[in-house]
Amino acid sequence: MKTLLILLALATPLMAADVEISPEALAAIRKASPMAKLEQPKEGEAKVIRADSQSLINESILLHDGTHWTLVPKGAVVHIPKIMKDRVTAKPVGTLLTWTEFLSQNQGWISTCEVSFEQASGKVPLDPKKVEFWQKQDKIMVAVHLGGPISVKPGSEGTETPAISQR
Amino acid sequence: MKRISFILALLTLPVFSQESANYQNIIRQIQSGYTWQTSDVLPTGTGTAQGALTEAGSTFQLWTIHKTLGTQYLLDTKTVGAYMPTGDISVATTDATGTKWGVKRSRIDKPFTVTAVVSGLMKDTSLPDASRKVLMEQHIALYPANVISLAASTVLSNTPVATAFITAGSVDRQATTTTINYAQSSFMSVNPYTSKGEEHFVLHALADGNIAQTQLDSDYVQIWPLPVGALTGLTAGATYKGAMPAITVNLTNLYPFSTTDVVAYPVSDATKAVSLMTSKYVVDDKSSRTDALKITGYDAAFPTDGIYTVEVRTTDPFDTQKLVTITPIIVNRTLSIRAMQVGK
Repeated sequence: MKTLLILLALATPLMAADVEISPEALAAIRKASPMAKLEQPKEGEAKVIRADSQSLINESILLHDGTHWTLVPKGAVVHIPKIMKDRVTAKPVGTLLTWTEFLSQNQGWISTCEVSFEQASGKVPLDPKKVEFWQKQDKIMVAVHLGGPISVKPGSEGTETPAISQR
Repeated sequence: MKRISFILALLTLPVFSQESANYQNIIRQIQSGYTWQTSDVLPTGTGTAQGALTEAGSTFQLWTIHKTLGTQYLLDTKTVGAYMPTGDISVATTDATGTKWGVKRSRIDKPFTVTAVVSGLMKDTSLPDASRKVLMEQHIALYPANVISLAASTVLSNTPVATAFITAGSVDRQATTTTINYAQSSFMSVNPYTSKGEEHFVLHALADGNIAQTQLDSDYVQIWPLPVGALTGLTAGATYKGAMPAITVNLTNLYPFSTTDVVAYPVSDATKAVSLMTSKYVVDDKSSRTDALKITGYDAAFPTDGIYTVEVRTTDPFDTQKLVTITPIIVNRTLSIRAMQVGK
């Protein structure tokens, strides 16, 4: 049901709720709310951090082959050879493929390296030999865990080098 | 850190629309140190999260993104943690007809219920607030003109109209159910005849040293206003001798699932109501309806001379309302011939 709802929302322009409710009406609503019978937060106790705008794309690296694109979490691309820099894009190019489909079609220039959650979070350092090997590749290297792309915390290599290297 | 696997119910996503073929679903698991993307999320299914849950919790985001345009929507967010409270909140109305459109909906003057089930809270008042209570919020937003849906993030970015804490029940960590009965929509205080919008209810875990304040669950209800009717062409108290005149019925904000009729009946017997229309006006839609009906040729609804009442009635999942009543309508078609007979 939730998806139907979303699809309904997708078919409708998502507009800001710009219809204002008068202060008098708001006061009446607050006064009549049955929630007032529950324990009420004191001043400052009900502070909620609201994400104004969350963006999947802004939290991702977009890869493309000119016809298709895919996205992986920021930090998942651990090596970009200079000759492959054009494969990284800021905007969608063509049609989105799932990571698995995209990888399957572009094995000529993308390769993956399996890491554990502990390595991704930096609790366990990455094997320096593996890191050295990635950095010599002419392919874009993407860190994965169980096939899914995963961000690698900068510094997980056990050195001062950033997660993304270029050559 | 504790390793826990749990069923990711978030993945249960029935998709019925062709539109969904243009979108790709993506799940991201975000927690301290890394972001992991689950590959190839099917429209329907369940899975087990593989990651280790920390005290700080893991946030699971379900996104859908347009394959060519890149338009993105955050469909759902769940945060779970080894030591975090859990919460589910749902709205229930007495109208099930919104299911077809994937929404819960109600009429502005009708009751609905909000139920919050919270587990994992502790009673000990010496413990931090985050382990003893969760925050519930009510947000409301009116629809701008020609809008019938709002992004949750838009509604929830407003200041809530009501907040409350839900605390532990009689036993630590046991599920407690809090039911809140709303006698009517909050929008009744705005305008019962024009207010269309949404009421959202949200549960938040509170922040403390280990966990960030996070949304546990949310649900919402669409609210539609009371309908209004107006009839022109007939006048109360007037006498109609010939063919009945054309009439116009203006209907405003008929409930999204409703049937409307214009009837006439002898003032003394409402059970003899006869429709003035060849068929009733039916609405089965995702939003309320405004329309104007022109009705002619309805003389058969007044079969004999007499005094009648004309009504506009609308029936929705809640009840039948009389939108217009015009009485008396006097029908007198009997010809009286005034003539003088001239003698031989």
